[in-house]
Amino acid sequence: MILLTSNRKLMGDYVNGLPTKVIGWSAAAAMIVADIALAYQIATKGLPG
Amino acid sequence: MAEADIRARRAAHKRLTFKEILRAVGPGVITGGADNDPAGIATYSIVGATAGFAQNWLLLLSTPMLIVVQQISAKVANVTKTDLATLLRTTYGARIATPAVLLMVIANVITMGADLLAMAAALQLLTGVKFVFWVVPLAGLMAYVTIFTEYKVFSKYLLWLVAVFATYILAAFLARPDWGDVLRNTLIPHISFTPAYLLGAVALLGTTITPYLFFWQASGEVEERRGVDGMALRNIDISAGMIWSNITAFFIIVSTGAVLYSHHAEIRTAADAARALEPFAGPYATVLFAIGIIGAGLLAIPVLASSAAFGVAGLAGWRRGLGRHAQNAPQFYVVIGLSFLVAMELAVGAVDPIKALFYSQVLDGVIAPVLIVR
Repeated sequence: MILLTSNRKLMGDYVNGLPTKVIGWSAAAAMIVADIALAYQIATKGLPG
Repeated sequence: MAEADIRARRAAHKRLTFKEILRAVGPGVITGGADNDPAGIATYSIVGATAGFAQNWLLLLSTPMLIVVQQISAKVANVTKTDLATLLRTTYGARIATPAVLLMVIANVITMGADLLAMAAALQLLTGVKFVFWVVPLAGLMAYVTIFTEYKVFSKYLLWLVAVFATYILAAFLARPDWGDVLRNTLIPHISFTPAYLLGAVALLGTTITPYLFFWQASGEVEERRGVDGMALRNIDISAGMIWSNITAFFIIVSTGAVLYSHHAEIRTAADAARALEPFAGPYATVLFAIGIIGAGLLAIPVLASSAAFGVAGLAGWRRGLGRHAQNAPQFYVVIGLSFLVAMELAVGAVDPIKALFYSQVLDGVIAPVLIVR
């Protein structure tokens, strides 16, 4: 959705502003980091009981 | 910031009166209520019971993220007058759109199954009849409600049932947590690289910034033909709904943290989760919790089923919309029916409702970033 709403051809004047982009990308980044860290921890230590 | 955005905001700031703002708040609060579905309540309760207040900062961090993601879902739908699945298909092609939508559909159906289980477990608390016997009638009732009733009207009444969860706010104060500790954990990030902590973090983020809400928000905008006019008011409504949703989540964690974590008590059943309301409701905590879970399920399950159907129909180019009669959009309603059948199967086969609820949200946490980026 961030890519879609950052596309000026699609959104015209309503394209994402910088604050929206920063917060949107931060949301995706926070979740991706948590997912990768979880996958690594489960692979090395297993699922918690 | 785009010029049009600035102009619209300036104009909006001049025009908007407090009365207008209050009048605008409504649909967003319903969406926020749907965000706190039974799986969400269970996840927040488990996070509070297993980590205390240690993950409160994630809720604070996720609030602006949730608001922005919901606002851009509404914006893209209002600007293009198209729902998300159709947009993904027409912009990126079926090779990218299909897996993205299918991931959302899979997560939705699993969450529906978990929510049905939670409602069944709540009915077990109220009646003593084992939860497995409630799953099939509940699935039938929910399918009927989704297909044959007008969700917009129905959801307004359900908000009163879900308002039960506002009692977590009172319960949290009555449980007398160490507010200094709560504040510290809310404002200062605390990260622990243990599987239990990370599992809680992924589930918490997944249940807060949840994929089905993006599709629901966008489809709602298109179906109501809201358009770009009044987008400033829509953004206020969305923000209010999402803030309310996260305030409720915050107090669920504080309450369960104060009542259960401090006594090293685990959540294995719905009755355990209900104990967090004891400081407020005493012996009636179970009844109150059960009523809230049933209301949350009634509010969220139609949203889950419909957003799955909106996704599939948008991908396939079928006619869609809850405002349409079944004869005008047969495939759309068939997808709703099928999602209930599969969810019911999953719920009947599950042995542990609490684990099913929690892991469905972990799955949402894995899927959400893909959809946020695309």
